[in-house]
Amino acid sequence: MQNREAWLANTLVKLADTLIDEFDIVDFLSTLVERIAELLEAAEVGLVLVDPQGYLRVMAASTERMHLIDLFEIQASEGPCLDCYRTGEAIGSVDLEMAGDRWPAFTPMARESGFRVVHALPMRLRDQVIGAVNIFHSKPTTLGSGDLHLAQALVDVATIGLLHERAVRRGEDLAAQLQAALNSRVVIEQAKGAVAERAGVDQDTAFAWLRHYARERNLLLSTVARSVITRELPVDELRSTQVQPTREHASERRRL
Amino acid sequence: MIARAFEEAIRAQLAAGTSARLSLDQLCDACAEVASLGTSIVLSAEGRIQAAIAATQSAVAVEDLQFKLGEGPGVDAYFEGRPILIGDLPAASSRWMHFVPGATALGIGAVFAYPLQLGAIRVGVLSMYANRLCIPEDGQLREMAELANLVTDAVLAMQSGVPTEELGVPLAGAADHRAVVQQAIGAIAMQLECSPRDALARLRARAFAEGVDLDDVAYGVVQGRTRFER
Repeated sequence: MQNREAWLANTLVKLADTLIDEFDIVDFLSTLVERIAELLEAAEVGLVLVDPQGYLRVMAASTERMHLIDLFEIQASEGPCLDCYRTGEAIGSVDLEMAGDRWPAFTPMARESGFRVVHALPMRLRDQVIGAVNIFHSKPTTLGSGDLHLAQALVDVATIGLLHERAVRRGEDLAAQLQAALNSRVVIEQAKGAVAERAGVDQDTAFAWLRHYARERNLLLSTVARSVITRELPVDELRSTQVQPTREHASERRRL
Repeated sequence: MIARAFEEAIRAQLAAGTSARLSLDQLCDACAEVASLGTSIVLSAEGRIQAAIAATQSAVAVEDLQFKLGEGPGVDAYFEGRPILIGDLPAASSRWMHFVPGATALGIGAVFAYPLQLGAIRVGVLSMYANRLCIPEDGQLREMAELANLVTDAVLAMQSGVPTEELGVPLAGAADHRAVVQQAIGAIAMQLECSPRDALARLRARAFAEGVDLDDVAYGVVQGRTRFER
C-alpha cells in the first residue's frame, strides 16, 4: 500500500469521528472490517462476537453474500475464530491446503470459496476475549509483523468502540452493550431479507442500500433496518435514494 | 448449563399442569427456578404484565408503577433494545426521577431488565428484582442474558402454534439466530405484508407441517424456491 501513513491517519480519524456521537455499532464494525481488508489487501474479513450462550455470532463482514456469512457462522463450532477466541491468541497465516486435519469442516468450505490463507485476531478487553476477526487471502500470503500489529490495533479500536457508545457513559457494562449489538445485527439481517425480497437484489446490495439511506439521512443503520422490516419505510423509498450500490472496498477483490 | 436447567424446569411445569400447552405463568415459574439471582421475575409486554412470580407483591407493584409512570428500567429496556442493569437502584434516581423513589419505597434495591427480542420482533421484558444492592458477577450476567434469550424463544414458539413438546431440545436453538433464518423472516414479512413476528410463526408452522428443519425452509425462501401466500 502506498502512503500507508496517510491511509492510516485517515482511517483513524474516520473511526474516531464515529465515537463522538451516537453511532451504529454494525455500521462501525462494517467500516472497520472493510478498512482491515484494505490494509492487509485481504480477500475477505469478518468479525464475530461471543453471545451469552458462548456462541460466536457474525457482527460484520466485508461481503454480505450468504456463502461467506455461512463460513463465518460455522466457526461457532470449529475454525480459526473459535480457536482464537478460546486461546486469546492470534492465529497467523495458516495455509488452508494443510489445515484439513485441524479444521475438517471449516477448511473445505473455506477452500471452496477460493481462500488459501486464513488469520484470526482476538478482540480482547483487559483479560476478557469477546470475539475475533477473521482474515482471508486467496493467494499464499504471510503477513509481516508490522501489518499484524496495525491490524490488531484496528481490532482493538473496534473493541473500544463497543464500549464507547453513549449508554456506557451512564455506567452500563460490556454485557449489556454486547447484547444490544448482537440484536442490532439480527435487525439488519431481517431487513436485508426484506429488501432482497421486495427489490429483487442480492444481499450485498440490500445491505448497501440500507447503509446508504441511513448515512444520507443521518440515521442509525439499525433504526432504518427496523423501519424497513416493520414496513414503516417502504423498500421503494430506499431504492429511490440510491445512486449506485457500493461497498467501501476495492471491487476487484469481490470477484470470488 | 442454564439452557438444560430451564428446559427441565419447563418440562416439570408441563408435567405438573393439566395442559399440553405451556402457559406464561408456567414459563415465569420456570424462570424463577433457574434464575441465579433475584427474588422476583416479571414478564411484560405492551405496557401490561403478562406473568409474574414474586416472593413479595412488591415486584409486581413496581412493574405496575413503571407502566403507569411510563418510565423505568423495563420501559427503557423494551424501547432501547438493550438490557438495563441497575445493581444500585437508589443511585439511579436522576435517571428515573419518579420511578426510583416509588420503587425504593416498595423495597426494591436492584433491577435487571432484559428486553425479550429477536431483531425487530419485540416480545416484552424479563425483569429480575432484588430487595437490596446487588452487583452481579460476569457469570450471573451471562446467565440472565441467556435466560432472556431462552424466554424469548419460548414465547415466540408458544405463539407459533407448534405444540410445546414438538419444539425440540433445547427450546432455544442457535439456529434461530442464523442469518438465513432472519433473512427469511424479512422476506416472508414482505410476501405476506405482516409483522416479522407473524412471519416467524408462519415459517415455524411450515417447517413443522413439512417435518423439516427451520433452516431448510429458510434457505428455500431466501433462494426464491419457497414462497408464502396470504
